[in-house]
Amino acid sequence: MATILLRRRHQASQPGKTPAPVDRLRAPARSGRSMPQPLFTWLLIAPSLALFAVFNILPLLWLVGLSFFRYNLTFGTPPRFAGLKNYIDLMNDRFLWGRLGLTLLFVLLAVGIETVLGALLGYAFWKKRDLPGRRLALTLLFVPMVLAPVAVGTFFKIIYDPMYGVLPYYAARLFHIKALDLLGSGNLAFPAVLAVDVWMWTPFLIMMTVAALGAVPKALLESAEVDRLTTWQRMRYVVWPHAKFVLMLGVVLRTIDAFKTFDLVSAMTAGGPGNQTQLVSLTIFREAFNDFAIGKASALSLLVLFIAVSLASIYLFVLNYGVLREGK
Amino acid sequence: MRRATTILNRRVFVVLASLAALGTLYLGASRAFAQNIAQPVTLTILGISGWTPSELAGKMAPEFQDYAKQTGGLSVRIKFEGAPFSALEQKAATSLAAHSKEYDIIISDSQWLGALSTPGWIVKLNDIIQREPLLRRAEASFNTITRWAYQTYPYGSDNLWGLPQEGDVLALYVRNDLARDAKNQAAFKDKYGWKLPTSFEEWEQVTWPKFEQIISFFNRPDQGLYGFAGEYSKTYDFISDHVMSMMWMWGGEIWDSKTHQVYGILNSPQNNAALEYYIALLKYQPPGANTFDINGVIQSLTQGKAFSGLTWAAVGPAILTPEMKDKIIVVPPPGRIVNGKMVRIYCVGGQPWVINKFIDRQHMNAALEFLKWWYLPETQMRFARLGGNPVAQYVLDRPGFEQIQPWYREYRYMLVTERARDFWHNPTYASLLEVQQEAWTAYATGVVNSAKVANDYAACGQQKILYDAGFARQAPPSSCEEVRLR
Amino acid sequence: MTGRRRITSALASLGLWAVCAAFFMPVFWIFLAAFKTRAQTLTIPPVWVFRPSLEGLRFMVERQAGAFWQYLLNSVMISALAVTIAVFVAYLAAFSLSRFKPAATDFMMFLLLSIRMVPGAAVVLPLFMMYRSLGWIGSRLAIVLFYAMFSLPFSLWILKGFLDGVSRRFDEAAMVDGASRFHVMFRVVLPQVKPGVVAALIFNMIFVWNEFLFDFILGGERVATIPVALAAGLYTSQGTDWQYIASLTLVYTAPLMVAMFFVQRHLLLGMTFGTVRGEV
Repeated sequence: MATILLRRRHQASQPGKTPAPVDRLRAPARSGRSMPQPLFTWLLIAPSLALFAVFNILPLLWLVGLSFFRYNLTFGTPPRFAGLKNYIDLMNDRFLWGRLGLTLLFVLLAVGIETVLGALLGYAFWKKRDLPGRRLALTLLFVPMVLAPVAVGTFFKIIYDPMYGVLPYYAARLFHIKALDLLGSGNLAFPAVLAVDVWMWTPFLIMMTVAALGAVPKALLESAEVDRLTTWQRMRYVVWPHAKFVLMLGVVLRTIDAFKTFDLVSAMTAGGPGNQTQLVSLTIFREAFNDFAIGKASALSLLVLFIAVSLASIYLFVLNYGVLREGK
Repeated sequence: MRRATTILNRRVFVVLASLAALGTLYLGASRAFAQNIAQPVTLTILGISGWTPSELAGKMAPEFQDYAKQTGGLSVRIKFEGAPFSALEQKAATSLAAHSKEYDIIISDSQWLGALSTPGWIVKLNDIIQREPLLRRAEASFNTITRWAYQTYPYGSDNLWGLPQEGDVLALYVRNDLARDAKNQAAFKDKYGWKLPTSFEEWEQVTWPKFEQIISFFNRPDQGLYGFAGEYSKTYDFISDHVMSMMWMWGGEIWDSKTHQVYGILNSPQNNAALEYYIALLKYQPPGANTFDINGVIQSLTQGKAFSGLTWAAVGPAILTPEMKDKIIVVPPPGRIVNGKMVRIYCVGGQPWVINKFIDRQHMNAALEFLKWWYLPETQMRFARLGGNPVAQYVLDRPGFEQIQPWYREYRYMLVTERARDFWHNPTYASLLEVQQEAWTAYATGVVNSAKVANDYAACGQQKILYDAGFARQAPPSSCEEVRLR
Repeated sequence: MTGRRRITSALASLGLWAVCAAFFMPVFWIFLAAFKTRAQTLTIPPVWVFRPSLEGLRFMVERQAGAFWQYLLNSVMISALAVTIAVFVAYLAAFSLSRFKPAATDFMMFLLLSIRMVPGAAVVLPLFMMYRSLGWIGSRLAIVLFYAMFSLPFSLWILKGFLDGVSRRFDEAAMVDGASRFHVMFRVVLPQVKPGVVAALIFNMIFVWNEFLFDFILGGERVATIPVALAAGLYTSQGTDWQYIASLTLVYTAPLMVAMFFVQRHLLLGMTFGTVRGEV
């Protein structure tokens, strides 16, 4: 597998071991220190910062600015400075907190279930290394997260349809019930949408788990076998310390994305029925692109951003970010 | 070069180099190419992708290009760009908001006339129409509802902001093969004592109570057949069109267009009754009907699951498939007897097109020429034959018009002021729509169990929107604080 | 004893395969719809055995005068270019952050992660205004650069994670032997973080590939990608065109599936973010 181009390829490349000297014949002559190190450092970072500044910082600043104005594109009036009015309106909006709560519930449930399921299944897949056709199996498993959310949302409308849908049909046969009306039911719509998200992203957590478990050094696992540790002890003292970083990173990434879930829900239910699946991202989209109330949409976006960042910060703190910094 | 190959693995280098080469070609190509060719004026029309009447504007373009060359020596190329229906407004509004010259003519929805005209993004057409004899003639041939729906904002004023691109009305599609069946005829007559309608004229006499009898008669779940299919979806305006139609027929209004007052008008007892009635119809509909969009109704009919369906005339081609076209007829939807007279009022559909205010004179001329050509009787007839829905009276009144398409008789019948109505063109329409969609779908799916609560929620929400925007004088009453859906 | 173990092993394999099949089943259903007529897709009981038709695919290709190829070209080129630029730029920055540890490294890493948290609908409007004033609407380069930025955070995090795991002694040894900085970066260190590069490329490809909103608003016809085309099939005057959406999805997902199959090992290794240097 390794296509490392050092001549002495068969040298073990493990941290701590002295690497082989670069073959003199291949290394071009050093052209002398062309620039001081600090400059070089920042030069390398510059392109990233530039991209970031232009395409992200600038719009964000604009967003912040706009949030202090009353500005509706279709009213024909120029933006009016309104100070904190947009934010006050948000605080007073009696439905907003419900929406935020709904979104939070969605995120917690989705990520929670995906993590638990993902971890369990990931462990199973990792344990069973000799699964016949493992590559194919895993590829099939990972496909759901690769699909376009718009397509998934649209198709699940028909998959869930009580008249034409595959799911209610088989469920009715299996459980001897009438064909379920999922997306049209006030009570079942939210779980139904949640289920699709879980289906789409559990494979991601499975992937992260398999990767995380692979981070456990084999030598330690073997010595755990030799020492006859119980499964629980093995988990706690050998596996978890090494696997936790990747797994938690997966959870963080998934949480951030879950907050932004939009295409999927919009295509499936448009936030309905009523307001049962009205996630806050749908509200933002609606305010920005249907109502064209740019000021309000900006304020709401910043609020959501603030919440998401806080959540991520908590996670990362728990993750013990310092572990990454030390390097492994 | 050599340095680069020593730095990178040769294989990787080849891949990167080819990507860079292709990339440069891709990024740079079309610009240079475009500049080198002397272009005639390109008229760009933004329309709805996948929607036949809209796309016909693009498909018929070559005919216009020839016509323009011949009559005026004008060299015009037409480019039709389609956006999906759900995202068309976003595309149009963002483009216009940035004062972009990208689109010359935009096919919009009638509701957007206020939103597009108030900020000054589209051209006011009064003078232009007056100046051009062809357009003047077309304008004169539009009836009152056409003028209101596709052209006017605000309601009651003389401002003309658009011209009708295609007209549309709600139509009832009926499985006439089932109605004609002798067994059904006999059984129905036995049960209800009157003849099951099988012709356009007979359907003209049908009222909602009578219609309920018909659809309950044909509601046979064990045989996989249901009586009716209507629209109940939260997306866009699907449930609203139907519910508002019912409200109008039940004697209610949706707002006061002069004072912009909604509370007390939208949540009136008649409207509550109308909403209840429409939702109660679900018992004759296939499972899943409480989220039906246009597609849901189409599918119910084409898959043979419903005896009747209420949706737009423009989707006639989708419903009248080769298997279905001899079985389904298009008739006026049921009416109501009010004070001894038959009242039939349904939502009007269709799209106007508007002209971008920011284009240059050359493009403006081209756009005008195009529109003038469009309203020529020959063009309109051609549009009709291809399945579009023209609105000019001199086309609708032509002998033989009603035979061109199976739904044209119903279309012509309904596209009159007594029978068709449009709802607000106000710039806040999107927010207003969202609130009532939310409220009514909540009621349709059992999230809220009372029509009154649903209507109160909608009325409160809309009153607040209009008040905050400065259109309505009254704020929503304090009782609105307590109203919630769930 | 061995017999029983073989049975449990076989059962475990069966179980795991069942799980994979269960996850794949809805996708399979969608793919099937590309080969069915509309009526077949809507038939209940569900149709699993039928005569497949290529009409759907043919129609997809011919629709709108062959615009399909344009969409595909745009999707491929925009994704490939954006992701390559992103990974390249991210590698430079990650190398710097890992090796030279400038001040505010942690802050920058966190800041970059927070890019991903901004709701798309919020950012697209100011971006649109900005693009408009610069004349960038519909510009291919501008869209590519945007998506490059979009892919930066993930790439940076993965690459930095891997780079942190490559001992500095490699660098030092190479420098001692007279290698230039670039030689160290690309010839010595880069090959050792290959799994990270692969993971970053693939993962970002997936996100850019499936992205709709930004391309739709910031782009024009010249940069329209397949998700934008897909949205057109949702509400047509024929109703929802299941066949079209399914065909597009099939054609669109297949390359990603193939990629995931062939570089799976690298991908899994890459997703460890550099905490492991062996087999997964």
